[in-house]
Amino acid sequence: MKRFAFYIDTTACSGCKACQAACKDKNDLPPGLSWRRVYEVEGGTWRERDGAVAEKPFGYCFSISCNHCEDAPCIAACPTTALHRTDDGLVVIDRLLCMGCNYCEWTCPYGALRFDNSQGVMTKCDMCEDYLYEGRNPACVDACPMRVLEFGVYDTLVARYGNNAKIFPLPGFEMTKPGLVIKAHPDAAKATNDNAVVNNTETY
Amino acid sequence: MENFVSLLLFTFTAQTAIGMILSREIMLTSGSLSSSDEPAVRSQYLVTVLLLLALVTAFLHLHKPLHSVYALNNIQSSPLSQEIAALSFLTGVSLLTIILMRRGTPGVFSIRVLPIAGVVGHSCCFLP
Repeated sequence: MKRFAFYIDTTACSGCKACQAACKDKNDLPPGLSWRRVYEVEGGTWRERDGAVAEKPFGYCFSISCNHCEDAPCIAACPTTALHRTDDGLVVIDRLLCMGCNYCEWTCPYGALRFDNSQGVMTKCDMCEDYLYEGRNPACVDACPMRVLEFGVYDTLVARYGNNAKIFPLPGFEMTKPGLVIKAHPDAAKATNDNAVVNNTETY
Repeated sequence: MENFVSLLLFTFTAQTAIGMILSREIMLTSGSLSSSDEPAVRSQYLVTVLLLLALVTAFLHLHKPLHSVYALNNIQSSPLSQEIAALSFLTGVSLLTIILMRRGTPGVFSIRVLPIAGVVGHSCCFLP
């Protein structure tokens, strides 16, 4: 089975949120519900030397949505099988089966599942499945002005960019085997829970 | 967040019922209580009411309660499916116990079958 994935170059992401806006626009998402989010990670250290404070700040942005994981914990957790994998390997939700228990939301380490209060069902990124059938890229990918987002078959992306999917604050690749290939920002190696924070966790 | 209240109520009622079953089993085993004693019989009604309340409150936290008919679709891998199945099984046995009690079936069997039902039901939660 082909496995689709997103690639993101976090060394060049400017955090403009064009991908987020394109996703909301394409999927007609209401305020407060975003399937794709842009995280701004900031942190740093400082030390005093000779009466002066020397700072070493760092920061980087990256865009994240559902990674359609190979070991998707949301599929295993969903009691109604509303969350399931399509023949194309995408993890999608059947809204007619979803009973709104929110159990999947608690299991996803990427926070990809978003509850739609107006409809009472869980929602998530479907990689613009309809666009895929037309041979087009997902809306977020084509909207990126920096061209840091890319979409393709996972193995192809890994062969092209390597598999460096570890970046603060995302969990390790081995946890769910996400369809995500990341070019990590040089500062990402410095970021830990102790010296860095994700500033904009709110959705729009 | 508002639905967490019903989850708290569910936990409280379900665990109280299970606690009552276990406490009664200990008393029955130690001989301090007989299954034909009035407190043992009354506790059976209370346990059943608590279990039914737990099921109702579990439905209340759902945003689409009518879709709960599909809740056992993923019983092989979903802990929530398994939990719902276990509690429904225990509630069913508890109701059956009351029916048997009212028909005059010997109390020892009808009351002591509950801990067994609880163990069987909850062991489903740990199925591979």
